[in-house]
Amino acid sequence: MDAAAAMIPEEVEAELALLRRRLARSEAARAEAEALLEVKSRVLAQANEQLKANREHLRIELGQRTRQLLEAQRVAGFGTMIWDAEAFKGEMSPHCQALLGLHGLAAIDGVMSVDGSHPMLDRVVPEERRKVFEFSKRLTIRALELKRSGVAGHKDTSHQVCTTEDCQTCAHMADCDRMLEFRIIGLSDGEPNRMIRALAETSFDEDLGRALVFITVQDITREIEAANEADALRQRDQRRMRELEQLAVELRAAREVAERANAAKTRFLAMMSHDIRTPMNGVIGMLELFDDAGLSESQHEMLQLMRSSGDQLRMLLDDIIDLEQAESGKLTLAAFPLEVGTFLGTSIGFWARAARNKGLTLQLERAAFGYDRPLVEWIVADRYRLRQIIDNLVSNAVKYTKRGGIVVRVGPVAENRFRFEVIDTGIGIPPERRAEIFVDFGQLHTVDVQAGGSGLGLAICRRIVDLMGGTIGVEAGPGGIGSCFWVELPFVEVDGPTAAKQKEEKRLRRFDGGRLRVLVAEDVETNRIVARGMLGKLGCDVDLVTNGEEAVEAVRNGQFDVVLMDMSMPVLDGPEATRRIKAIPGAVSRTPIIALTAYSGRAELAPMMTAGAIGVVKKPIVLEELYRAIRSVCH
Amino acid sequence: MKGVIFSELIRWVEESYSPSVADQMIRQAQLPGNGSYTSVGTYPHVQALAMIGQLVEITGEPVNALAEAYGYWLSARFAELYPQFFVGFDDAITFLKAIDGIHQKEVTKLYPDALTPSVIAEVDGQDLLVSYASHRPFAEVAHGLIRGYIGHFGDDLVILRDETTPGPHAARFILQRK
Ligand code: HEM
Repeated sequence: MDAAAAMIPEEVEAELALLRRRLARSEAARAEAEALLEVKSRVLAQANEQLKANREHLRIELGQRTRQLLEAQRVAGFGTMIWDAEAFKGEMSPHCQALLGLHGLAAIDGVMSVDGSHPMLDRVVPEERRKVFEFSKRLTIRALELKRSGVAGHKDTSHQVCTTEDCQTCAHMADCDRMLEFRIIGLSDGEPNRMIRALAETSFDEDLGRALVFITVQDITREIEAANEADALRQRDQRRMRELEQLAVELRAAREVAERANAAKTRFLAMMSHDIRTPMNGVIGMLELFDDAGLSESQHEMLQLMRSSGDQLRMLLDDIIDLEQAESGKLTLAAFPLEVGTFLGTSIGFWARAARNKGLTLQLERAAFGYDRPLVEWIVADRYRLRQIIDNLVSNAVKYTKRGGIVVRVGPVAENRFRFEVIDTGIGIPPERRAEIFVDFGQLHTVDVQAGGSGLGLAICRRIVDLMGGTIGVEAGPGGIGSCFWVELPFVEVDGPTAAKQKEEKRLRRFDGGRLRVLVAEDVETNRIVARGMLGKLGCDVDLVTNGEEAVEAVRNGQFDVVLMDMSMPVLDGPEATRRIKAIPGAVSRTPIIALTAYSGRAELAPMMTAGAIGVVKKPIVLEELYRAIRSVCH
Repeated sequence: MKGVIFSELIRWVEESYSPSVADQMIRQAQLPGNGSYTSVGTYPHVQALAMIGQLVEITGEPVNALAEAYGYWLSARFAELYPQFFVGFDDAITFLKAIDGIHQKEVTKLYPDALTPSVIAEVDGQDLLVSYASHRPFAEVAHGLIRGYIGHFGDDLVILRDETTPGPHAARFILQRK
């Protein structure tokens, strides 16, 4: 018993010791575990704190970022919407809500249907709801397809190319239209509809495992309005442009018509004038020949009136023909040596009597015009045309001046340019009319018939001066009284003949003292009678023939000092007769021949001049001109 | 090495032999903490080697056989202790292919200071090659664990040892269908 009892405690003792050691190990392990746990808990608590702090930080950060993003959306004027294609749930940014007029509707859900009511579709104008519905349906399907095919990373972007390399999906995407513009009902009552542009991007977000449609929304109403306005403006401008072009075409056409009509009118006038010349010739010629002797005073006055009327009529005809020639470019210039001083003296002297009759003075003065060398003596000029200018200016001055007088000043302005001025003390010309008085009747409204001229004189003067390469103008006279008409012309100096200045003499004599013998070849009887009368007055012996053939015979057989040869005659005309006379052997071939012509243009004269004529007398014949022509060829 | 490997070792000896063999093994190994281990603690792995060494003394069985037996027994314990790691696995091959990931991700989540071995499983034709490598000499434990999981999932597989791989620090196991 004892042994057993003693034995049992011994085994039990061992067992107990074992258990005690196991217990000790367990307790030690537990203590260690608890200590470890406490450390872990502290670490965990700290980590938790840290985590909370981090989360708070992130929350603030996220809030800020979100606010910034939304602010950016507001400033940029677009809103965003994210649509979960599977959940049929969408989120709208505040600005998106504002743009669409869906305030307070951050989340939208529910399946869209065209017929049923949907908050977003309800905002769209009814006729475009289907379009918007189809658009969102297409995008939803697209996003789901992306998820099913597991193409992560791919983005169907509406405004940029997908950047995923070798993207399998892009190949199939071209047909998917990802932009839509649609109208929504005005935001407030009475406001017009607004235009919205939506740009969509479908994607499969691998991390979230969601098929998403990301949409940006923009109000483009003003953009469209601006574009429309610009379009309207452009169209209006184009329309105006077309109208202007049309107007220009019409104006051009009208001007052409007017120009043609004007040319035709001038031509017609010239033809008329030409036809009137021949009978005029007779009338004027006869008046010149009419002997004043034995007439009563009133008869004498009547005769004077008839003569001056005839003169005016002749000048008018000349002017019309000259103008027609100028307009049609037929006006050409002759070039003959001319002694300036004498020429001006004679030209102006011609008007001395008219001036005296009106109680006006008429003086010729030399002037320097800022160039101190004296004017040369001999120049080359078209005597007839130069005379025409001077006659026009001086006659006008006499005509329009009631009191005072006329001064003609002449002098050089440069080495080869001279100027002459015709200064009167008349009523003057207001500045605004100064340009128009040089314009011919093609453009002028009224013709100054009252003053007795054709009103074309200055226009012709301007044409001639233009042709001569000079300038003509008018300004107020000295001290603002009257007018100063001035002309500046280029000139070419020549050596003059040394012959002494011939004394003015109306009686033409040969150097040997006898009377000059003149042959007149003229087919029109009136002209023959006028010519004979005038030559008689000049103290010449006259023979008359009626055609060129008779003229050639007469020259061959007789001793003539000069021949007056009409240009157009039957049987043999002037040029041909002239040629034949020049072909006669012996001294008679040198008989000077003066052309008689109703034309004054060089072109018409050319055949006579080339045939050998050396002078011209215009019809109707004026005594003074006839005298000068004969004198210049015979002396 | 994590305390769970030590505490389970003692438990295995207590269950497979007797509490007094375990007590003797612990006392003879002259361990610094007198054999008190908590699974969350971390201890030098040489203590495990010391204990197995004493178990060889006491039982007279070869060390490799003991280590392999421990691994085999441990596989079942892991299934009891960490059932969450076995969710979704129906066969040993799939499980072994995932074990490296489990060691590195899941085990270190539980025990942040664990230094698990490299256990790589790769398919080679009909076979599965499982390569073990560690700075610790537990190739036999690995063998036991593999055998354990083949049994656990009920796969018809035999384990061949690639004898060319040297020593307890590294080993290659070839798993073939029977
Ligand atoms: C769910 C199953 C498993 C769990 C939970 C698990 C867990 C662990 C843990 C906690 C350690 C200690 C590591 C340390 O403290 O450094 C460990 C080590 C170890 N595990 Fe696993 N393990 C599992 C499966 C396996 C399998 C299938 C093998 C077979 C190859 C294996 C082989 C080893 C070995 C050999 C060690 C010892 C340490 C070393 O060799 O470095 N384990 N295991």
